Amino acid sequence: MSSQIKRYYRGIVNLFSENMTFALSLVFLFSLNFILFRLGLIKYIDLLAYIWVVSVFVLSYDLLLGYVGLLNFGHVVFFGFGAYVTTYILLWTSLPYPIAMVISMLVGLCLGFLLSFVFRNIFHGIPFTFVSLAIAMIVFFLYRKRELLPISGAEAGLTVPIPHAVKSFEWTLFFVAVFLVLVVLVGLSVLEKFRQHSSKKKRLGILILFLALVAFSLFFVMDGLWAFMFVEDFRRITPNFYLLSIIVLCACYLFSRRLAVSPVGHTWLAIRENELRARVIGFDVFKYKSLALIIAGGMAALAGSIYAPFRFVVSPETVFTPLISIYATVYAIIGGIGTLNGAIIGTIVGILLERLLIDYLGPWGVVVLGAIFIGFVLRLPYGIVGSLKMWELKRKVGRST
Amino acid sequence: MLEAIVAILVDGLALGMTLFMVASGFSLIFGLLRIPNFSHGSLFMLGAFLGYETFVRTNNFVLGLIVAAAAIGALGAIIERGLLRRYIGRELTLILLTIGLMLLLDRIVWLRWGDVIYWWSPEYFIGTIEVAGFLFYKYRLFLVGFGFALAILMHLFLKYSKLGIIVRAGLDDAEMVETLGIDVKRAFTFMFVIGCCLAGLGGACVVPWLSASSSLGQNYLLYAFAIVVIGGVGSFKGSFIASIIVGIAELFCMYFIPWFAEASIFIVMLIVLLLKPEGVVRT
Repeated sequence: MSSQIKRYYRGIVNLFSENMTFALSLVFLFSLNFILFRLGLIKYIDLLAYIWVVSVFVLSYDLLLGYVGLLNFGHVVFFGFGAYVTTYILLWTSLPYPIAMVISMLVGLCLGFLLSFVFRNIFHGIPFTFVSLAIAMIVFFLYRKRELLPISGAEAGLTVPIPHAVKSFEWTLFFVAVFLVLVVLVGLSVLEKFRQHSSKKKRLGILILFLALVAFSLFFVMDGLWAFMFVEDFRRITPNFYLLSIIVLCACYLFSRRLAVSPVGHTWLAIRENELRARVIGFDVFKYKSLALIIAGGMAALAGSIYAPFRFVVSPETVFTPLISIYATVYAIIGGIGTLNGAIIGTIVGILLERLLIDYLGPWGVVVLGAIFIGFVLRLPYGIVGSLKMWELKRKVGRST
Repeated sequence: MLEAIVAILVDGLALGMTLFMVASGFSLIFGLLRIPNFSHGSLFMLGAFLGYETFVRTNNFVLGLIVAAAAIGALGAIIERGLLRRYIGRELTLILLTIGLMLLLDRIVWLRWGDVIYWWSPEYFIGTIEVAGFLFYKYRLFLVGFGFALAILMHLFLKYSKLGIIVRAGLDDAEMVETLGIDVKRAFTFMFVIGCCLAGLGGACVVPWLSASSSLGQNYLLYAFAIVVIGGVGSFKGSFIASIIVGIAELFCMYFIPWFAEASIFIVMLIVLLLKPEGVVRT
């Protein structure tokens, strides 16, 4: 038993030390919430929280696209049902919000399981894309109909009651506790890194960077907590959603990273590269693909279940339009397909670019965005992260020869 | 009841014909060049608006059809030559490129024409006509006849003309045709342009009946997806039959269970997929 726990502990520490940049930026981003709150920039907390929620969705999308090679334009179905199921639970039952999230995630998992049987014969390439898009359209059209008003809210949508938990100070405290655990884990992984590096200069650099970062963020977190205690209830909503979404994002990211290096992840890559060969070797391709769909579905539903109360209103136009999947593709491409951290970076860049362009160019912003996107596909097909990786690889190869 | 059913059948056929004009081009382009042209619906919509503008300015129905078909064909040639040709064989890139084009075209159309619905009809097509005791809308009857004529023409073209034979051979095995010293790529570009022409023509044909609006593009793109899946990829006959099935199924649903109309096509599609994953017609 204790050896099992030790293994888990080693695994987490290794995961962090392999993704040092992510771990360090996580610490910073956590404290950013409190900094922005103290500065009174609630608008930006809202924007960032939105970015993290979308990131979870894009991450799940990238898992499917980058690792299994399935371009799923119906991915929005998971997102939408996640959002709607959460809304139903909050509206019609008195279950607490965390349980609603878990139930929505389970719904997403089950949906992925069921859909994989629909796709059984066409689980590859463009036919999959067409059919998944068609399924998304069925749901979208049905949910927009007046006849389904009581369960869909038709065009106006349903108003989501804000869960009481999100307003409470206890939630902030809970998140800060999670944060402290994270800091400890990151610290341990920094020590791990410390042991591995032979050059003394680099060792010292990492340690100083980490300590400075922790001191900096702890100061602001504690300062923010103090301010949080005396503030009105409704002011805590946005920051709490920020904390919730970033922790969910962190969990999903680490989970996907872990999955990517596991045997399952390698099998996915093998299927993506050459499905026939994978089948001949003896892998049950269908089983692996449906597993990917189930996992990605659960993650997307989780994103939806945060999105619903975060935006107060769910309507078919906002959670079921196939445009969401298309935007997810755009963000994944901008960041780089199959890189996972590219999904997050792509979402950040994409949404900020979108906001900027729409603010300054008005309706023409979307046209420019489309042009930029085409440019990305043509000039940087590996996206930001992928291109950086390629560049680094080229430099390494150049140095060694 | 009988009257209703006859009316539904004619309307369904008319809708099927407009769908056929979009979907056959889409299906051929996808089957031949392996380009999943997501901007096909937007080209169709652009055709509708160009047709409308010409109708209003010249008051000439035939001229409008020709202008829409020619303009969209030319646009298609530019898109294929300038952008898509270099990426043939890279499916993901093509999907993304055409999606980018779709967003771009949709947005431009929306900026120019907005959310207004545009309707125009030549005077000789307004009103009804009585055939064998049933009343029909003139334009819908015309649409059915026009669609069938077009389909027969295309069929003859594909079956007997030299280019058609090259195209059909290319669908089967492009490499083999190329070894025979035939420039397949040129034939394919030609088919791309023909497909776009058909989309533009279909768009202009829709104006006097369902009218042009900026939501047309995405709706018809989805119909095209469904029809390709039902009819089988690259099959001209299949897409013709599938268009008729979809058109009639949709109108029947619109009459009996209106809220289910749009979803019904996709239910048909799912049933076909589960029973005959290769499409209703074997190529």
